[in-house]
Amino acid sequence: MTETTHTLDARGLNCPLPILRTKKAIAALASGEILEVIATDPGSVKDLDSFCSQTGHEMVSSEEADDGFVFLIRKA
Amino acid sequence: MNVEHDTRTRILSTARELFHGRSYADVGIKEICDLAKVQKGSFYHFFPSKQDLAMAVIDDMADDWAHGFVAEAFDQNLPPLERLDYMIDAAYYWQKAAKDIEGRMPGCLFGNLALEISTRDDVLRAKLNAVFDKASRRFHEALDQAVELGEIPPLDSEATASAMLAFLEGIILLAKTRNDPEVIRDLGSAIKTLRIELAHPN
Repeated sequence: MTETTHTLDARGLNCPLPILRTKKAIAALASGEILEVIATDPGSVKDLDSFCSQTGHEMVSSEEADDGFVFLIRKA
Repeated sequence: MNVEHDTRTRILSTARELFHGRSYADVGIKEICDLAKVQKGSFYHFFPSKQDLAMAVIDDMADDWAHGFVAEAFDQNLPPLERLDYMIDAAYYWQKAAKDIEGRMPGCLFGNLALEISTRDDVLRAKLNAVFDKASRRFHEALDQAVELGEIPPLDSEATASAMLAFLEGIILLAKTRNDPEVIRDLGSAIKTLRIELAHPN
């Protein structure tokens, strides 16, 4: 169901770069498509949460992995 | 060589944080040395005066911005006016993240320094003026492209670019005064409505 075909590697980037890159990557997707974002900035957890609630995109999952934080975002 | 580089970098990043979080006048060289774990003699080896340090801090921050979120926002692949939204987003998320960590919104380092220093130090004022000019040119370029593409009617793009920068700095100042980054998001979209007409339209 949650098939990810697009990945954004935002590791090593600090706020606000992961958000800006996410916004650009999401803009290129069709509605319903899922973007996987990998980030290392701890602030990206809150940032991407508020980005989703402000833009209407759905945060499908948000997890901490070995190499950073992994987010799945479904485009509204 | 590396040790030298590290020492200079440590002084710079400590000063940058303190100037941004507090002020220029309020932060002394001793405090910077203590926090950066650097001897005073070593400090003066890199920076003959506090003013030299401030010049380097401004350069350092301006460089980070130019290659970081400013480049990202004013991406030539984005439609020209959309770049303004990205700039507002950048300011909003950056200030919000800083407030989440520190409890206080730091504002814009350049704006803070400009307010504090402009009546006291013409060298630093000129430096900050150059930073603002450079930022304004990004807006200017986006506006010229928007006119070229027919997205907006011709306007005084240079003056409008300055007005947009003034608006951005202004809402950051207001948000800082209210300690509320939401002000940037709530008011930011109006940046696109600013326009200064040509004095003599043809």
